[in-house]
Amino acid sequence: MSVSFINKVLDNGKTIFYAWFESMHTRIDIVICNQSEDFSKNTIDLIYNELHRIEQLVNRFDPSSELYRLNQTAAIHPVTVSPELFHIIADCIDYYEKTSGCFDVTVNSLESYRNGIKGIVCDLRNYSISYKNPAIKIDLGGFAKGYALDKSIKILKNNQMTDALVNFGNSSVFAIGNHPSGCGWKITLPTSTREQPESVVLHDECLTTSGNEEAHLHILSPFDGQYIKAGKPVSVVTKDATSGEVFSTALFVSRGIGNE
Amino acid sequence: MTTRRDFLKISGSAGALLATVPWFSAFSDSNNTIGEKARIGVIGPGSRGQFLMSFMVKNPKVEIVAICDDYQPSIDEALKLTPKAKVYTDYRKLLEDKDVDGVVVTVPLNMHHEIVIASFEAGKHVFCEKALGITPAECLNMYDTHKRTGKVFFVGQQRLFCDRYIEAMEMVHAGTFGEIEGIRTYWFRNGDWRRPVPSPELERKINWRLYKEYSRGLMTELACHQLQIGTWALKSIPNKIMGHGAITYWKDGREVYDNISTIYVFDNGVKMTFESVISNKFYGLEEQILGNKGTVELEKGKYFYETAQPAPGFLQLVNDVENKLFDAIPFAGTSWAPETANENKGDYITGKRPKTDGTSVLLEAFAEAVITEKQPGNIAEEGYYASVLCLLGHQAIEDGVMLDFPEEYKLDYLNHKRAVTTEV
Repeated sequence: MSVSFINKVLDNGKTIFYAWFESMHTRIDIVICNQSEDFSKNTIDLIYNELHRIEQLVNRFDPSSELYRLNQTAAIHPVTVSPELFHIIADCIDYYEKTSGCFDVTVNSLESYRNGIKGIVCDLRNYSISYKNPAIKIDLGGFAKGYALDKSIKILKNNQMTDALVNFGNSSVFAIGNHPSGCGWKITLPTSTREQPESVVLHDECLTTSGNEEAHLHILSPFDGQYIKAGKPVSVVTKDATSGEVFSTALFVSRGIGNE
Repeated sequence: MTTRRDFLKISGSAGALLATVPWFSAFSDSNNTIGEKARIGVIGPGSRGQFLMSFMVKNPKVEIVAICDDYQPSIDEALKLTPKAKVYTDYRKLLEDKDVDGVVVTVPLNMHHEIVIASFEAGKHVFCEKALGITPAECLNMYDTHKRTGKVFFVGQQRLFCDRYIEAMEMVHAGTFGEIEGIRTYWFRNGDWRRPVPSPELERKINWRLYKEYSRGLMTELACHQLQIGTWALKSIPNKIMGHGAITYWKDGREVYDNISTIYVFDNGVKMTFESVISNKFYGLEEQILGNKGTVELEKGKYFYETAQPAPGFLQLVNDVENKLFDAIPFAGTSWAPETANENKGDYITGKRPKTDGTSVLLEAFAEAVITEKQPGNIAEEGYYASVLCLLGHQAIEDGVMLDFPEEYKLDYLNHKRAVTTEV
């Protein structure tokens, strides 16, 4: 396992532990305050393993993942999936409705197929899912990061980590408890400049940022299937990372189509 | 100039600092020695001696009261730095001078032993340039005389006082780079290593580094600095030593090798290498610490992780916490893209490009120790082993064998136990 870390013991006996690694095609940074090095390391191991598990569930490029199998066969016949994947997809459909179609996990469907999400049929009786058209493909890339971050926070809390900071690829930052020298955790906003510094204090909250940069266009408009042009990113503060992921993406999409 | 205050700020706490650099105890009384002076005599103020003097003349706690050399051009140059110093041509006379508290010995290697022993016996504190002696037996005698007389003993291993080396060792000792699996050191130059000689009879006096009577060549002049890194990083002394040396390019009458490779094996099988070729300079000099999670390049002052790099914003956060600051953390943005992270350029250990090599701090520490007459932790032992390891490397080359670290040269230090000697 390739987790790196720094553990510093301060002269007041308190400690700060910082671990980082790559998982789910992104980088993860985790800061834990005032725990023993061994306990911190063990907890990081739990998170690392959990992220690996989630990746194996939702990676649409991995032929051994559940989502890959679903995308391959759900248009042929209903596919029974794990309750976990079933609820993830059901939630995504729910978020599609809540965001008036701005958050759409089928935006990456084949042949520019639009509104694919309306062609997904979920049957709760036997956790089966089917697609009404073979072009429909689910891409959980924009959802899974928030989902995995929430799972990571749950592991930290279950292990009595009261003061910690978790960063998923810079676009999702979850803070619990307090910075050792302050109240909450102060994060510089992505739109901050040297002339106009802007920051936000998080306390058991998540800061999520979505946007397209010229060099890294990745968010597609569900309405025309085109990349949304680069522009000022959107940041939202939420109580959980999953909804932060959904709403920041939806707001960026909605602004990109002139629906501010 | 790097000051001790910078170190304390970097390290967060004095206690943590002393675990990595016990010799920084030299500074523990520095607030009480203000206004006092270490009165220093410089024996052999040639090029290295003058370099050290250039730092000492800037230190308000040092007064260079005497210099000694039998080569007038060196005296003339040294007096430009310290016009008021008394001039001696016989070091024994300088040692009789009651105004001298401590000596800085920067003479050719073969003369270190005699002068250092005489200095201790005369009640002087000693700073001796590396390498200590020309044989391990000389080094041991110098160390034992220091212990018996109780006088302060420093060896010119300036990396022990260099900020980036210290910070890197703190990280190494904290396990930041994982298990240390290897130490690679090398020093490549492309030049004949000669100094200009005004007249032929001065050849051996000026180019003493090239002759076995005075020097062990690349091992004592260069390897000495680099081999000490392994002991510091691994907190262990290597016990098996092998190597080969040859004159392959500069066949100009010199006696010392211009092409050397040595291997030092630690008890756990980890190896440290020293390599020097002085007819190609492409790779320059470097000390590399190889861990299963990362690499340190001490000369460049950089470290590299095997996989993901630490985020600068989070390193800033850790630093803030150490300094009890509550500041905004700058890293939030749109998604991190792995394609931008492929090239591993590493990070500077101290956060910035290296500037100093520790010499000024080393000399400040010596001045403090001369004033307080207290020997700082481990400095004599680290200096002793750096010298003995390079001399054993030389011996392994000369004998063409793999040496075991000889029992008679072990101190009570780290993984070594001093051999019991019986009185005859």
